[in-house]
Amino acid sequence: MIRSLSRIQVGVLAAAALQLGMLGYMVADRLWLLKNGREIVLPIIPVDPRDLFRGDYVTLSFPVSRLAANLADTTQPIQSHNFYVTFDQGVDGAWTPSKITATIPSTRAPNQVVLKAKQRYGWGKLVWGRSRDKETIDALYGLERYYVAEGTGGKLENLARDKKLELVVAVDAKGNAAIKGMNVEGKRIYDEPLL
Amino acid sequence: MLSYRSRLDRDLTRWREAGWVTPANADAIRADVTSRKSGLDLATSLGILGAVLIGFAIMSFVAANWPHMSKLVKLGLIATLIIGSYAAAATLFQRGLEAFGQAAVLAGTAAFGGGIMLIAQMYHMDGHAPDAVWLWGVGALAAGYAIRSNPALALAMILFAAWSNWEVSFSHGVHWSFLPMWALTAGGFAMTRWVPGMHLASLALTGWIISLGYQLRGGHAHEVVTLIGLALAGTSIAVGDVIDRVRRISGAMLGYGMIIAFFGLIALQFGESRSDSGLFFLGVLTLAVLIGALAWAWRTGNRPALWLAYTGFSIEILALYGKKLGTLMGTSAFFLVTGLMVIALSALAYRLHTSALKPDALKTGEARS
Repeated sequence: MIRSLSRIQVGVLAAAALQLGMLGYMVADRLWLLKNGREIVLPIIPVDPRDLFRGDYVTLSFPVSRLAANLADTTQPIQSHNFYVTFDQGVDGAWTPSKITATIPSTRAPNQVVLKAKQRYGWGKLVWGRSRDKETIDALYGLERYYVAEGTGGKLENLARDKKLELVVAVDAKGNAAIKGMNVEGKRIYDEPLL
Repeated sequence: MLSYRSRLDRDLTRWREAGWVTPANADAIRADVTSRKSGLDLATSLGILGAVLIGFAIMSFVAANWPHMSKLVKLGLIATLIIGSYAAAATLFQRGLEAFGQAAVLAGTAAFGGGIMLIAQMYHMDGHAPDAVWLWGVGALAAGYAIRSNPALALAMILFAAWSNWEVSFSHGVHWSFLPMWALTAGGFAMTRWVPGMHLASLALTGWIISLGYQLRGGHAHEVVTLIGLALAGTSIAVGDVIDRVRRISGAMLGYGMIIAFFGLIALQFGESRSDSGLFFLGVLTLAVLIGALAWAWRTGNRPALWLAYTGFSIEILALYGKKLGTLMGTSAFFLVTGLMVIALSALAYRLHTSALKPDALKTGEARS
């Protein structure tokens, strides 16, 4: 463009660039996680409500959504809702939680991954010590929503009723997780397209 | 604006008849007011409403999660909408169509919010949901500053308020992080000197302060809220003249202080279970404060504060009537005594009014409104 831009046009350009940049960063961040994250497979149990903005989704629940409280390794209180769950892969390939920590473990064995989680009923400040008094901790991994086209949530539910459903998840080194695809009876039926 | 014009019109007719203003002067004043009317005309409001509707269209489209379009196409569509809206805004601004340019900015910012939702849906992101609203607010705020766009700033303020509400519903504590976001957005309104925006900011902060009563000290801090409100109103009354020399906000300060104090008092009286004597004391206090505010609002010609006082008064007596002070006989005695007191005050006010110099009182009254 040859003619110089007015102040307001520079502003408009800046606003557009910034908003597009923010969206681009979100996409890039997810793409990186899906491409480079370590792949694990978790069994699932679905239920169905609806989100106000993002449309229909299936609420996923996992056997590992309920953790035995005695896996927590410390009595130290933590001030935030985040905690970390270490999963061990057994000889059968299944991932089972082995340890709950307030901070991310600095080392992990080759057959271990760490997932970041929140308390489902994390009202107020979670006192780490108190969660040991309960027998279980209800964990959310940020993997609990699977968005589907309007009105098609029921299909997935029916599938889950008769067959064994599993979620394929990508996990990065910081414990962030993203949904990569879905397995029925151990066979990949759905692969999330990256874009 | 319209009410000011019609009021001025009526007064001008009266002044011309009294011979204070010549017909030529009256016409000049009318012409001046007409030329200075703000951009809030029909075309502008329709433009903004259109942008809002398009925003909802985008959100519903994202929510439908239409399977016949790939993720990439949807992302491209959102990007095109954002670029198109801002390109339209730049062109409109260049042609001097400021109001339509602002509507286009609003549409662009709405598409940005749709983009956030789309990406969250595409990758099944189920993180902390209020974060998405916060991010949208940040984008709107940035657009507001970069373009000096009042609609974008207003959207940012609404989004930050929604974000704060949502956060509180998760964590049940005071949401301190609201304050910096509020200050940034309010700073934007101060920059553009947009009065409705400043009211929006004041309203958002008012809501946040009222919510303190339900968050601090295990949800029983309504006296803190009441004191903040009374302090604001008191400051406005005590040093309003000094404040107005910097910026004329003392009138609005009184109004928002009244709202805050009233919500605090209502919660104290009817939310917290108290003894009858406690309710009696607080009821008298509330009515006294409202009557004090009413008197001050009349003296300074502060119409909004006047209507707030009337509204508060009506709500208060209806609530007291519904709650009952012990027995209905007790309630009746309460209203009888307060009624007689207010009538006595009214007689006093009448005597003060008739003894005061009428033109003087009129002048100060008109100057403030």
